Amino acid sequence: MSAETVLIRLNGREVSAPVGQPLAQVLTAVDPALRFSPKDKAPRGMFCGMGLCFECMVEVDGLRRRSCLTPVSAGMVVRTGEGAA
Amino acid sequence: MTMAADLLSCDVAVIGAGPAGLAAAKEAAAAGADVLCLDLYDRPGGQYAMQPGDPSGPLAASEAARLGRDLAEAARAAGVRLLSRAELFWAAPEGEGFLLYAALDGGAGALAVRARAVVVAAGAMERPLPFPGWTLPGVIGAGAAQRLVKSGGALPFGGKVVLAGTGAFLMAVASTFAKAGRRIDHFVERQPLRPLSSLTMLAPWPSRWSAAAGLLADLRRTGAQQHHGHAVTRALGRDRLEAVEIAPVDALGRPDLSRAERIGGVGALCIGYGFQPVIDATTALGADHAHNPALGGWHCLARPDSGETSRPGLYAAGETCGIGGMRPALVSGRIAGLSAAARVLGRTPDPGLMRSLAAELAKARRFAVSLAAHWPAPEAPPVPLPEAEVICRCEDVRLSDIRAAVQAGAAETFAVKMWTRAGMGPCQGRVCGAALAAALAEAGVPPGQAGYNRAHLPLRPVPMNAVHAALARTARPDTPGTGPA
Repeated sequence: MSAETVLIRLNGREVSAPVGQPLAQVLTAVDPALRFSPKDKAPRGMFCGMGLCFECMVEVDGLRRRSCLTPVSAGMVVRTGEGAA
Repeated sequence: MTMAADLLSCDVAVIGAGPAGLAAAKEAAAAGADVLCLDLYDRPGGQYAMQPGDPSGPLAASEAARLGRDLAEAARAAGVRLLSRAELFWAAPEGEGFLLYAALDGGAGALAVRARAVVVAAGAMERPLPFPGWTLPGVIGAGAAQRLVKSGGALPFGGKVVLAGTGAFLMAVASTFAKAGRRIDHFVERQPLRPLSSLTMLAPWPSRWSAAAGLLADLRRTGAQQHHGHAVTRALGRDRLEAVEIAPVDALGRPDLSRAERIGGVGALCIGYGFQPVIDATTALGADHAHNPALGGWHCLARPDSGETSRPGLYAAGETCGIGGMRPALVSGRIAGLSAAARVLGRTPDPGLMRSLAAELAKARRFAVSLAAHWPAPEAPPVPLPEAEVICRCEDVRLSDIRAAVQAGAAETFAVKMWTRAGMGPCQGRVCGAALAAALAEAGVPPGQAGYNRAHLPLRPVPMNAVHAALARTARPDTPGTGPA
């Protein structure tokens, strides 16, 4: 990839990521479990990869977003692990 | 937080900027209509003709990526206003025309659109079928895998890659991996190798021979060990995928679990059993739909010679009208765009041109039908499911909950949803729909009778302030599609 690399803040930690790449790609490389299911609290990760299943929801700059549709940008603050018991 | 929404007007609004939507938008604009095209994704192209993340990488030169660039360029040159990162969350009739509401940039903004005619070319999504362990992180759709390789150049999982399921699309995914220089460890196709019937199927279509040979060569280039006549029977792991079990299947597609073998060290299982049309916009607008397994299940009915649906002024094109691939999508898009423009401009489309396009569409669909017959998509989960398996991922609804509801009298998809919450979560039944239909079919309710998940405002989860801002720009919209399916 020729893309420029920028820093994002992931769960309080600085992580470098290629700008413009889907956030889900970067997050999954760190840990494929992005959140927990509502009742069973089972780990879940990206599934459909095209914005229709909502399994890859994370918090980006305070808004809930599908990480598969969210391009990486410099300084974004990301929190994973929604729904943890 | 309050938000201000724009209100735009146009002659023809096109939903979706894949091959069908871009072709429709271009034709309508070239005919003289003022056209606005809304699309959810970062860049126009849709899925088949998606633009790769690396514009100088090996995938950017592919025929599919070139098609997407050419279509978008032609649409822009014809005067189409292309709006990316715009997700339709509601649609309603207004007099003879339509109101559309969209969230912009993932909900950071909002938009209302007043259109005299609408073309819905919302595309397709994978039709997921559950199997034991399918909710583990690391299990993704085959289409998801292809998107990841296109956007990021590689899969982000460590460990082995298993590509599994059935259909020509699996080979298209393998081809994307090969072109990107990526390895696949195991390729698991439910159908046995059938060289004779494959040749018979392809014989009448010489224009497809070189593409078919290319797909086979690309599959070999991935280095994958090939398991034909096998199905994935289980995904195993604690907090993420670690191993995959596969077993040979018999002539009826039933796996022989006594001969299952385990593949260890797996990071990604990319699995696809076919596609289903995206019909949330057309159902919200109250158009007629029908069920046909060969077309991916529920699809919007549109006249082949005009693209018009049962609702005057509403047109549908591409996969929304039934799974068929890029070629029928392109032609049906042109037909719908020409018809929509003619309607708003008070003209009649050139009858000779429409006749020849309708003939071209019929031919393109015939090839799609023969492909679908060669790789029939399973209607029910390919492996017997344990009662405790989660069917509705959004709400953690298990097969046992669904069977109990059906046994107690829930005789359609909507009743199962009311009873169990299956289909009530953020995905709105898009992911569990096929499995719910299979559970109802098992109890004697055919899918055509079970119905589809009804459209609700908002069609997609978007922030409430975006919904308020867009709706505040118009009078309160009707909700014609929310009656009994």
